[in-house]
Amino acid sequence: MATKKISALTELTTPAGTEELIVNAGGTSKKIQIDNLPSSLADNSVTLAKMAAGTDGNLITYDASGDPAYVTTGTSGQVLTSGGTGVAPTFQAAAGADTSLSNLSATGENKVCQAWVNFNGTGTVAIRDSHNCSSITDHSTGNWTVVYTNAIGANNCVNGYCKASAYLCQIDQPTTANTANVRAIHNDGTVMDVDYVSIIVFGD
Amino acid sequence: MNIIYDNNGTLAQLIPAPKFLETLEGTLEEKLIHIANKDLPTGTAYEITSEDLSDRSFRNAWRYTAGDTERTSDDLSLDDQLKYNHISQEEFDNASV
Repeated sequence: MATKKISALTELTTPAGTEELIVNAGGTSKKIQIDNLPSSLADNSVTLAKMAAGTDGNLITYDASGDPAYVTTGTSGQVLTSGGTGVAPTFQAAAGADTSLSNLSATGENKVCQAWVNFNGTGTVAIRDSHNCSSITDHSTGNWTVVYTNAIGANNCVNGYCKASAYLCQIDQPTTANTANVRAIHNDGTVMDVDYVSIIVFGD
Repeated sequence: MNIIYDNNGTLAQLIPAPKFLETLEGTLEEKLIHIANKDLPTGTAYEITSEDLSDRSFRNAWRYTAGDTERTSDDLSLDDQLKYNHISQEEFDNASV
């Protein structure tokens, strides 16, 4: 084989498929045609070490052109959020689970109890516990008004229970947006004080 | 403490809900004034009392008599009316202009 100084070689800028490369294979010179070079990487052949270094926390995605791109690192606590078709995902603040009644949809609101109260209607009249109830008013024997904290749709559904089965808990109709008038009526027809009265309200 | 007032010739006592009181700021008296403004018709004369009303004998014959500390319930602020769903957002916006 003829020898030639490296500096004297002509640079090959656009190799043709039939041109050859000379390689050193363990001390033995061998040649391979450009066409016979491997055209792609073998599957599972790129290790993490072979990948270009990047910014810690970044994720690899594809941009609108289909080219590789980074999803930039978000801040602590953010979650990866899809941007939908054709848009790279981004890190965004996680949406909190809001379970308060005021944030339920209109459809959901009327499926849950809008207000309730359990009170002692005799002796020292007092509310034991409640939800969406700002007060009760003791008008006379066995006659109370429950006032809602936040108004409810006027055509709501109120139901009441008294401690003793001999008592009927009567709710004035039509119902109103702000209050429910309640009476405890004994089965003999008299209005009586009772020590346990419970009211529940459903509505919009 | 409760709120007492006249309701068609009979004494009515308004008992605040403990859970609602917890949501309010100020002294107990200030909280009760807020509840009176919210839950009583505007212009209702009332008193805040700590009197023991547990003996309900002749309950239907109880009468309200104005005392030295009588107050009158006011309208709620527009912000509170909106907060308590007494007015809609549209009504609030129109009233705020």
